[in-house]
Amino acid sequence: MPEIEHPTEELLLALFEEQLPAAEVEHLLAHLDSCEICEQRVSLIEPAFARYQRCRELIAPRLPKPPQPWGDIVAEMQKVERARRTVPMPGRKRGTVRPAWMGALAAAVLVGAILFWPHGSSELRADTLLLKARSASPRRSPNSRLRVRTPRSTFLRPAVLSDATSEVQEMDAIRAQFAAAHYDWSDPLSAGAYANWRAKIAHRTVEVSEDRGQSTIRTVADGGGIAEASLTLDASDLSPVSARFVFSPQDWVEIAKAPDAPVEVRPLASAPADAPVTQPASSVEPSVAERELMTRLAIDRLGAGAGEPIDVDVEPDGRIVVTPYRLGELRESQLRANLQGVERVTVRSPEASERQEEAPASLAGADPAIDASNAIASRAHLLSQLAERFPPVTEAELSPAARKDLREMRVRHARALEGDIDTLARVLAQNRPLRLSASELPDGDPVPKALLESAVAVNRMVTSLYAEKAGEGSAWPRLGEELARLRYLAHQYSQEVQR
Amino acid sequence: MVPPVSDDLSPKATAQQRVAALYSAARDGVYRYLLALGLDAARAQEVTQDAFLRLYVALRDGAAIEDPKAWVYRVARNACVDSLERIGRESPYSAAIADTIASLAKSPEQELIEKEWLEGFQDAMRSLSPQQRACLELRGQGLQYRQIAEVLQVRTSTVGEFLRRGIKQMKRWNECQK
Repeated sequence: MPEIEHPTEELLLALFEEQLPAAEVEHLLAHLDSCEICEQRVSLIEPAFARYQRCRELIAPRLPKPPQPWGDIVAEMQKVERARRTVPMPGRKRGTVRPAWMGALAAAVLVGAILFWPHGSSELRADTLLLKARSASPRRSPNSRLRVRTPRSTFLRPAVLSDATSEVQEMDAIRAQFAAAHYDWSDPLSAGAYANWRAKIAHRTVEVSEDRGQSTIRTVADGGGIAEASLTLDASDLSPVSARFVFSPQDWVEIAKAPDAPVEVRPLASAPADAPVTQPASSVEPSVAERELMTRLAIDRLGAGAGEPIDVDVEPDGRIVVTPYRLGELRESQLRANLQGVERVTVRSPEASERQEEAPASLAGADPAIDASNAIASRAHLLSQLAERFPPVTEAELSPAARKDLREMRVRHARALEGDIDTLARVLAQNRPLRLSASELPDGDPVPKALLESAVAVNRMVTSLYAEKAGEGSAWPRLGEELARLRYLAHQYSQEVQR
Repeated sequence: MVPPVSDDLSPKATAQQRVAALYSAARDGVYRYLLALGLDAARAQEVTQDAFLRLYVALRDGAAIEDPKAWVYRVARNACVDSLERIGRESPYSAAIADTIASLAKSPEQELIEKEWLEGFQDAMRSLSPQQRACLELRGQGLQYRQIAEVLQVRTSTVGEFLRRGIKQMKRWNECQK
């Protein structure tokens, strides 16, 4: 048997003291994973590990115990097996039985299992229900209507509003209330609108209840315009049935599905008798640019647009291909759910080799300064992409609603970019005084491309200073200068997009 | 509860036995890991249970999962990523550290030393990035470096870098107190 070559003490020490080349770190850690002797040597060489372990032991008795007894996993797995044969697919009515071997059932089964799981209430159940409801939501007919009831009046409205929709007068005040509460009034009785609103509530409590074939998610918000919102879903197909929004005890809005409006038939004089019904103008297929924007908005709703590597490619035939490189399973299903309703878009699963692609020895998350400068670079990249994909001529061809969405997205990220820059300046100043002054500021119109160049330069300098410790003396003033330039550009751009 | 050994070698029975055995052995660790990331107890328990059920569904459907333990940790982490974005610095985990420090306030010499360590630990926990905290906790639970890399979906060398920086932070806080 060949003798194992153990690393020297100096090398083991260097592993936790210095930045070694990535390949060497990989090799050492692989050895430590398989060699108990060296693992013990590490604990002697680096006492911080033992100290950390002792701290973990000391606090263990004071950690909160699980609030409920642990569930019986065997019983739950058996329930899953039973559910595999009986849980209906979303979008189908109860009673549709599929063969148990169909892999596609897995997700639906899991929803069933989560609902059955003891004590599995609140957040997880609500998130799961909403996720499935979003992915199951059928495209609604333009004739779908809602009944809206308030303490003062009751009226009907289209289920989904477009800019061309003439609203009844009573809706003006309600629309303003929903806008102030950041709830999408254009499509209020939808799992997507409800989920997006929930995601913006920092402090909330939630209850999920089932009654007579319906599941109700009730969210009580601490702060924000809507104090309490409930969404009721039909348990058989997870379609939204009704919703109730409480702004104050005397001020509430109830929304429920109403019978569809009569179909407007406008036969053409020369059309044969069995010609299809003419579609209303609102159902005209969106342009490629509009679908691309909808796709980017869906990614943005995921909160991943500015941070996660997700490619959006428009094929020559108009198909849109989305490739998420490093999303977890849950987020990937959220992405798919968000993209429901966008036509001719496919989510491509990257190859295993692509999935692991990242910068060597990535330092993401390794230091607050690196995190902040990464966030800045990502956001500047996103703004640059938006500018490239939606130049003024393309933007002018978008529908009014899409133009509004695009503007809001730009404003949101431009403001966030300014915040990220302030964060980075603050983090850097904690380590060493940093003078933010640029000897020369650009005097042309600020453009996202200049922003991106500056953001990338800052990112490179921060990474170099923090990770490689190279040229620290002269690099620091240069960083101050570039950061000042970036802040100026970001501010100018933010002002411009808000105009 | 581990199901009794059975002669049934169907995929369903095999998957159930594997998951039940892992559930007994690893659920407390997953739960504690989620607490360390900042989840409250109720949500940590829900997410833990859910992760094991997901493992069962995946195995039952024939997924080739090389390391089910790392898989469960990863799924649990991914499942709570949205919640984690909303969570601030204060969590039951940090409260437990503060309680332990308070309990050691009037104690013999050895405990005073440990109190100092804990204060360093508390400060370090506040300043560590989520990835550094996750690496230290998973290492503390005895996961191998390659398993930690799988949980966090990064390279093993990145795990080494996170740990190096985490250890450095901890040492810095302890040195500050001297």
